[in-house]
Amino acid sequence: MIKSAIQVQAPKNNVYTILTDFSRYKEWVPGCESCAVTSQSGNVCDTQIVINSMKRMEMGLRFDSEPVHSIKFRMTKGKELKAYAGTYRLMDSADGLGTVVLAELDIDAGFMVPKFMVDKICNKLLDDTGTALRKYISSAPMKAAPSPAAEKAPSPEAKRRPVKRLLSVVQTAVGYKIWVMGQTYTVKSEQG
Amino acid sequence: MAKRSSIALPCKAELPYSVLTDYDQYAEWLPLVKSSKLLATEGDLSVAEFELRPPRKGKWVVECIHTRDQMVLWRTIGGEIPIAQLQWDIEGGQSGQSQVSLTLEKKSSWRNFLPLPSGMPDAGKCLAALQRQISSFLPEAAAGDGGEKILDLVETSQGFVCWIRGKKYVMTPAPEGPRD
Repeated sequence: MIKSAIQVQAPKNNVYTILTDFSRYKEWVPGCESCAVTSQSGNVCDTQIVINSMKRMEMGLRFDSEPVHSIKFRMTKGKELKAYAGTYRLMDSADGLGTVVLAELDIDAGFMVPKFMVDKICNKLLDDTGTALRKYISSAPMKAAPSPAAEKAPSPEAKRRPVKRLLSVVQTAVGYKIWVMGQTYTVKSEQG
Repeated sequence: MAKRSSIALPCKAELPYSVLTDYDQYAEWLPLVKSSKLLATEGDLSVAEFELRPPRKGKWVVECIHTRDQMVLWRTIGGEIPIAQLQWDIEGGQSGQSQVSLTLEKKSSWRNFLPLPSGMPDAGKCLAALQRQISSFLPEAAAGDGGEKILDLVETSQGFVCWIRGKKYVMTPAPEGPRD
């Protein structure tokens, strides 16, 4: 399982809308030639997708979404791979300016393809998807609709920190003890 | 392939836990980190990004899983660093003491079988740095034995406060300009 954090300058609601608009995947998902919704029941959606990146692959992908929070997908049909699954988990960014998508991808290409090679391909796919998502959002800005969680999120400055000592000087009989950021130095007077 | 090291701290488990989950402050104390940033948090899961000091370079992105006052676990999800997983275990003891252990797990690579430098950070040095940072939050650590405290500079949520021979001064930022 390969993971990646994708930072996007758009509210979580908008990112979720884009990630669940499967019929428009061909507009931004790298290598996607087509993506057709074949059935939908609640938050579960079956699609037929054609991806042409290193190899042309046609597969059935089932997306199972938890609105605004996560989208899971897994291969239900396909000949080229043994397994293809992953998750997009959407989190409000700590700076309140966008969304962090924690993306996971797991591919099983069979025993003929070594794991390190599959991992490398997964890393590249996630990197390319992140770049494409950012580009798509910036080129087709949606009406900003901040998610409720983002509105409620306290600013980083609001976090209370305990009192932190930076410097302390103590005069002793033989000189000074100077404590700086966790380390103590002794300065003795010349007479001492 | 994991390396583990431990240290005893003169404080309750809450303090190391709060220092370890303050992802915006790591550059203050962790030797290999030049700057750090919390990217996102949701429940017990956070995503943080560290910029590394030379000779390491680039960014290190980790997903962080927390168990309040007990454990902070990082899994590498991006960056050219040989660490696969890093785990801080905190054990609260009797009379306000605690024990922190750090376990570093290396990424699996064919290079591990070669007699090359591992490039892994020293767990002992990381814990010593944590100990120094922790002591900044313990008033007794800086007091020393005996003597007269003549200067104390502390950072509070209201700003910087300076005590000089028992008298308190609240410091305000000076306007930009040439130094006196």
